[in-house]
Amino acid sequence: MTEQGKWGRETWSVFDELDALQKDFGRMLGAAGLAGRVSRPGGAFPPMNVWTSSDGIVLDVELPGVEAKDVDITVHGDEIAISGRVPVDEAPEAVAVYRRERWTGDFSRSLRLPFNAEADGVKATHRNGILRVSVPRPEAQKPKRIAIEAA
Amino acid sequence: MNKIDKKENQEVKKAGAEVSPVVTDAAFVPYADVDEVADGVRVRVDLPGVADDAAEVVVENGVLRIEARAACEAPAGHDLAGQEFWVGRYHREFALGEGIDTDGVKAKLKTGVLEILLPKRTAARARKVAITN
Repeated sequence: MTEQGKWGRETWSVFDELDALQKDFGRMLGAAGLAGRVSRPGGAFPPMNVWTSSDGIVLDVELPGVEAKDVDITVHGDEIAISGRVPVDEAPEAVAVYRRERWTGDFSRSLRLPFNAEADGVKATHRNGILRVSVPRPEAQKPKRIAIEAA
Repeated sequence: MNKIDKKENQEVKKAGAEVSPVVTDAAFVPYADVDEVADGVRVRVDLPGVADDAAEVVVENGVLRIEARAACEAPAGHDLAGQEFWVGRYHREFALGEGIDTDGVKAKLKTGVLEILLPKRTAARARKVAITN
């Protein structure tokens, strides 16, 4: 929020502008006019949080309503792809549709990894609608600390 | 997460406490689908990361209230490199019409989707009337 300056004019801050812009984009892309904030302001589905360490990468993917068996995870070299389908699940006896905000239908996202993954080491768990994919970094590609010898 | 939350988190981190940057106490508006079906109204709400015991559905004074808390622990020893969703509290309310039987409301939570069935009062249900000559 901008504050009233001492001359009665609003003080301007680039962060306020950016906040306002982000909120506008959130409204346009994902929130469909919802009053308040949404937990995933961006437009991409499914939204992902990416965690990194020298041991590998962990991806958290929000997939509410999707069963583990309906998700495909493929690893090819340094690329990982996650695809599947959010069931539409229409009520057979529906009389009227009042509101449609949830994402349904096919989805597919791929990500380039900072290393070549071995598909055998990839593990995935699915809990309460959040998929967690762990991609370990192969031993040969782990960063190595080089000792500096005294001259 | 706004810049004040971020600043506070950094300060807590400096103090040596373990803070997961994806978790916030802000209440988010969850996405919902609402349909009228023959016997009532069906509400489906996306609540990813919410366990059975972390969601609450309350009907009070003609308002359906949904409160939930998501959990998604940070993997040990990892840094957050990209964030597209936030983990925190969910809150949403819907005003209910007169025709809803508030005693018969049912709710179930499965793979992060809450489904609520709000039955219509018998008098509010559609009835087919036979036409006689």
